[in-house]
Amino acid sequence: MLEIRNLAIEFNSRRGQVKAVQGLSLNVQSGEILGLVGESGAGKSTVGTAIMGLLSAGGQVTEGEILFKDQDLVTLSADALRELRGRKIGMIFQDPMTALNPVRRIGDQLIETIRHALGMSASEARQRALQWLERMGLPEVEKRINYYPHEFSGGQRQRIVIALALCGEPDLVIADEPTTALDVSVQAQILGLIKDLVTETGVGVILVTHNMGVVAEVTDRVAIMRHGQLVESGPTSAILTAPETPYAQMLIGSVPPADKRLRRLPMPDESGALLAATPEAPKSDAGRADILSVAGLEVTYNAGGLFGQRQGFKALKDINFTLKQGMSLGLVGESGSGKSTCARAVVGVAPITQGEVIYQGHNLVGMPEKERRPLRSAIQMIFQDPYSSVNPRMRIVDIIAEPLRFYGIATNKRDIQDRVEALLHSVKLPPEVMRRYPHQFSGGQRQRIAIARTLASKPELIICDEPTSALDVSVQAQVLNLIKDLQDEYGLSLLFISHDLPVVRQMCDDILVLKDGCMVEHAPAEQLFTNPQHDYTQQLLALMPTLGN
Amino acid sequence: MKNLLDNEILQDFLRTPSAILSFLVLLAIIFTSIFAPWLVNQNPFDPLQLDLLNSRLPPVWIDMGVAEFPLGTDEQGRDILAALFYGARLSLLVGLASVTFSFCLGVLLGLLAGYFRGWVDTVVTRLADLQMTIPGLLVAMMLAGVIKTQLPAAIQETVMIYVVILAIGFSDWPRYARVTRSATMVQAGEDYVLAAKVMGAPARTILWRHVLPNVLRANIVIATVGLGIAIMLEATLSFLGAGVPGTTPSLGTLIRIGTNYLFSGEWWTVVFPGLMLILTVFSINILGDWLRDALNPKMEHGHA
Repeated sequence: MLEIRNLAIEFNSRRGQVKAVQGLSLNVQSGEILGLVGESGAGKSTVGTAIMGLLSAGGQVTEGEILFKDQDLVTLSADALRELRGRKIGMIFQDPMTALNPVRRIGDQLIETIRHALGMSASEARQRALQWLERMGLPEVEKRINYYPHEFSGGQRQRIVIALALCGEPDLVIADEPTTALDVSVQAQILGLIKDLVTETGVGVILVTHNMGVVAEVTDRVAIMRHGQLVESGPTSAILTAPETPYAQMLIGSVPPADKRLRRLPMPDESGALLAATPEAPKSDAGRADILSVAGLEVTYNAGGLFGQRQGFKALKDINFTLKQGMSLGLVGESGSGKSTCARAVVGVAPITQGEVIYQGHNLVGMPEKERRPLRSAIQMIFQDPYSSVNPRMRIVDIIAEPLRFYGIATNKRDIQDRVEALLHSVKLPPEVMRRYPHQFSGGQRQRIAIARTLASKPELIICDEPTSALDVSVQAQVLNLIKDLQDEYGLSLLFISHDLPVVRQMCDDILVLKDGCMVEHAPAEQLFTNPQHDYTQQLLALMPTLGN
Repeated sequence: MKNLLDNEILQDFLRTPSAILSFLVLLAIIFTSIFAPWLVNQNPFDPLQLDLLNSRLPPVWIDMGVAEFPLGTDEQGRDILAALFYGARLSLLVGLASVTFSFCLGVLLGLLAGYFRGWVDTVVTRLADLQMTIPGLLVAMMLAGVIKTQLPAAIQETVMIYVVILAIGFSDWPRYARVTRSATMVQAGEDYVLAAKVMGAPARTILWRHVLPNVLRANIVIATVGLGIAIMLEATLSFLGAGVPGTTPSLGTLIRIGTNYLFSGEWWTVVFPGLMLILTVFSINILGDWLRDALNPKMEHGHA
């Protein structure tokens, strides 16, 4: 139905022509889901927008053709393309929060699209809109059709976005990262919905994603892209189990497995050979001393007010756990579960209203800043977003040297230089990067820089708040391996926060599951994965997308 | 930042003729105002150097014009060209000083309001709101007027220029405070600020080392536009007689003096100071517009 032949796309930029896509050939059949995967910069989204004729300013197709039902979309006029969009080709966007017009009722948006695409009368279109909403599994559609987008949750909004893309009965739908912004449980529902709709309506889908689990879950065929070129394509099961090209092998190998813990994820080492995927057992806590224990922790935001009138929002309720020296505890939960709040409470930047945080015998809650200062250097944090975690106006050397100067670890210039160099070495970055600024580095490199800063004050406990969720899967594997290397080398204790269960399985010895600010289950990692006790944990594990099935 | 300035912004500058032209004009104005004593042979601020016999001479290209006074003289025998150079010097000085004053005050209050929130924020934003309901000119006039009446006549002449700087500077701080406040709120939510908090860094370190360098850009842009506004405000104040005294005329004072003679045919006493003022403010504004676009990469794609 859709056939792309030898496609090349170039962008004009300040630095001249940039080739975004080169020599790409693909095809999609009716009733099939094609997964278009790759890491950031692979050009996968560009292909999607090129099919829609919506390349951003400066972008143009320089070669090849996009044949949609034997019509070349590249040479089609803007008017003819607009006719196709919505009617014949639909699009599902990544962010359900911005894909709907916030000032219009969802019913009006649907009815307008249906009337435009199918030429129905207003009342017919309304009936059709109601059917679609019902089909999407929304309750009380008669009432909800008059709601505004903000009255729905993120998952419900994504259902409405999907209804909008499909209500014009298109032959082809391009879904660009449709579940990336959603929690695992919502993601599973949305993916199931897309799969059902494909079987029912026979629509062809191009699913653009970076998530191999999503690919495994729903796609029939998969095409792997890198640097704008097609690396490998074929039936999903074949590619995932036996990839042929080295890049595909590396990419699929770097996906953390959910069913076993590996010593290190199989990434190429210095010589370029892949590390072996040897299994590893979690550490045992026998004979280890407590480094951190949290008892009855409660965090309340926004309480008080001038007259103590506000109740506030309880982000955490009665949290208890103990972390032993040199071990890793995983905090797992969906968005809003309070896992990041827990990290902030431990480092002392969240309003603790009750309970104790005991670090090596010292209760940190209510401790005066003067006494706490020396302890702060021992507890450090690695953040989620590598673009926000380093100051863009500081040189790398100053970023890493800040804790050195602050804690008085090194004071003279020579000493600071040496230490920064050693820290960069430990995160596998060359010393030349010192004089540069953060914008000259990729996300993974920035995360290494942030890790070097974290290590500068010689911490004993490191809190990792989703340290790899903003990174590509191969970069994630490198950073996870690095964190493990550093843990072994310095005997670090880790409090590891993530929504990604396979990642937690690789990294943690014990796991604590949080939901709505409360503890749901607390168990050793192996036990939690093989024999989950609580319903919620079982549900999370069942919904987790994996390569295996 | 340095690297960026060296490369992309300089490149952009060299590709924008309007920016180059206005920069050159501004450079010339700054040059003449700094080196005025060596460029003209009269100090128009010194009454002893003025000769009433030379009063009301037209520019050199008109009958009765003399080469000694290329742009003519006013009713006190003051060389218009010299008055322009010295006047522009005063205008630029007042403009720069008052912008510096409002910049520092506004950025400081904005940083505190945006970082600490709570009552500090309420007080600062309400003060800014309050001040923005009163036109800047009125604030400046009120301040200048009130202070002027309170000063003993003997020191009025010398102190008045500082009063004007203070008055103008005070009328414009809310703009910097507002921009800084919202930029600070954004930066305070970034993880590198949290990293500094985790380290235990005190608020002053976080604000000075981390937040301030990241909110300066936006402020530099409004400061450029603010410089044009401040110079205009000074000219308006002086024109209305609430600004710098007539013995040390700024461009505004010259225009005020000149308008008295506009209808008796001595147009040069008002037209040249007026042109000088327009030229100065216009080139500053063009430069400011360019700087805004150059420092904001998003502008290129049409959504700022």
